[in-house]
Amino acid sequence: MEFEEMKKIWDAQSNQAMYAIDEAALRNRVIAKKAKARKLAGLTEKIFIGANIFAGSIIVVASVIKDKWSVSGLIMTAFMYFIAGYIVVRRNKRLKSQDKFERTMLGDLDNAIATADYQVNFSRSSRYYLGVVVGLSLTSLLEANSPWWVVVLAALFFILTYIGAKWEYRTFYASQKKELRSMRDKLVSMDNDEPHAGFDQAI
Amino acid sequence: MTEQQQNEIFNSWLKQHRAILFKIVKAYAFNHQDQEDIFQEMAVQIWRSVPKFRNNCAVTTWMYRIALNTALKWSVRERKHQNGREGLEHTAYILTEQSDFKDERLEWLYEQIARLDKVDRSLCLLMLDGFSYKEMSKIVGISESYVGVRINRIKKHLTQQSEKVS
Repeated sequence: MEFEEMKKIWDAQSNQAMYAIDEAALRNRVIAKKAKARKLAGLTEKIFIGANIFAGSIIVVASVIKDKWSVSGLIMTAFMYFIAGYIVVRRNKRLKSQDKFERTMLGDLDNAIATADYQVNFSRSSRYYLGVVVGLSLTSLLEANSPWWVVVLAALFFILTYIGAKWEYRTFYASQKKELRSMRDKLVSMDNDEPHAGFDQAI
Repeated sequence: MTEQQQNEIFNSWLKQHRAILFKIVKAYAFNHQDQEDIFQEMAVQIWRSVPKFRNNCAVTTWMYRIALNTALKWSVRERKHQNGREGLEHTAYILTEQSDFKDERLEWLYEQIARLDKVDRSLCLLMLDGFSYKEMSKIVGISESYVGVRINRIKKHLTQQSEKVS
């Protein structure tokens, strides 16, 4: 079959209805997805910001009530407020950068890769963050002369959280970023192609 | 733009150019549930894109770009989360395939398109729908000469496959 014939077969389908659309169901679906997308946008960031402010404030309130101030507690509070502020700044930067991409498939892919990059970095930084919180929390427990099993339990909890965070990073963020990158590479690569006059070498 | 205006524009786009979405659905998803999922995702993304449309290209070009990009990203995500569909089984089906429309040669063509890699699949759909290299270049974001190279390769491949069958 010649290509022109394929084109004719292809064009013939445009005059036929391949599917019937239930428009009311589609409208409901669009509304539902829209609401969900709004809810999910930046949820991780919001949780991190809220959790840091809340946890930092709890330490301050507890210290005020007990009138007992520890160095590690104060450092942890300052650290948590700092991290909350830092995430707000990074989030604003991320939202602003979304408009700078070209309105093409390649531009959209670049945008998706930038978002995946951000998620990968965010997920990786969260694990370093966890390390600092672990250090400060255990120091705080030791300063307060907590029983040994409390320290062990806390350490165990943090180890499990670390493993979970690493699993999440590998399973979702890193692999998705890798796939997006490979798709982009496919879009701009010329593997196994014969030389072609006028080919844009810049790609 | 009010939400009502957005809905009106979206409905008119869908009414006039729904065939674009159907073709992409058939090229990227191979069972009814996936076709439902990808169609819904494309519809949502096109609905969201309505306020961003600035009339600097044809509506078909705009819809193709959004829909193809959604299909590409959907296929990446879907492979990772085969069980991650959003409770689709509990929702009403939106698409119903029209059984009276069957053409074996067209089915063969869709099968061949599905065997291309995801990026070539996009270019093949655009080529069959008569987009120029310039338009394809604008939609995909690669140079016209590069589009030309890939299109030639796809045409050659399709013709060879058809010769094998005959």
